[in-house]
Amino acid sequence: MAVFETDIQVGFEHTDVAGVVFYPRYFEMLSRVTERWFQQGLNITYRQFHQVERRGIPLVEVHCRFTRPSFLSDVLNFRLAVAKLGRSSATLHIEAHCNGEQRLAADMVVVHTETHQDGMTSKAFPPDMAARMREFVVGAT
Amino acid sequence: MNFSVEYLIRFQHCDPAGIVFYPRYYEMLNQVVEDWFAEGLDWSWADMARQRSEGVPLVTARCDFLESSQIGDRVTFTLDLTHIGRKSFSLTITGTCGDSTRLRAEMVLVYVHTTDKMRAIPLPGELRARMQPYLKQ
Repeated sequence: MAVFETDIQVGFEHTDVAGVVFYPRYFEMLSRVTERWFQQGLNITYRQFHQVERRGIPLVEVHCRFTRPSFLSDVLNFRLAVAKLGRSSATLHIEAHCNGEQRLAADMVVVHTETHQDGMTSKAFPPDMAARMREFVVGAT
Repeated sequence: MNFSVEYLIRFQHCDPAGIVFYPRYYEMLNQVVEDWFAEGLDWSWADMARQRSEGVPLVTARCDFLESSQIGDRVTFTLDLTHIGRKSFSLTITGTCGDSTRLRAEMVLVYVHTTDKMRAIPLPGELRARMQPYLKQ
């Protein structure tokens, strides 16, 4: 099994009045981590995925624990794995760590969709994409 | 008693598919809590931050995004207080537009002193008293 790892340094734009990461910024980071995973782990850019192929990966459910606060200039090490892979949905487990402590742990259920004029409909992951995702499934060999 | 507020879904909230990008929903959820503190509890975050050096960071958030929201929608957010602990409290916030439920979030927030490494401290008695009428039976 592979875990996708990527670092994001806490910048000034992420912090709030108290000097810690404002939680909507964490969700932007989770989005960025997923985007990097698509590009580097699944080999498809978001532009290709969303705009050329007219697909989507909306979030339908999320559970996030903010274990410890993060401060300006902290380098957060994000680790993404696939906790569950379904036909057209997946549960992504993402953790962020810094200085040996966990800062957050999120479980995000996303659905693979096809975008058309009057909205979007869920669609099975194509076989090649599912195969790449399988490498990141927790417990996969 | 609950607290409700309506927000217009603006250009700044939407992604290229024309629907709300989820971190923007978290900004709105944060704003609902901020508005509840100011308007419902008369405990403004301005005073809390600037005079008291206190805050209410989020500890856990669970959210179901049931239907998408588009630019131009007016979403009504309704906040219910579900639990008051010694240092933390729990909320449920539901976003609806007409008869469509857009999201339902369960959030646990903790009262902290911000200049002391965000150390959790007991909810001030006065704030606790003002919260009490909102506690869902």
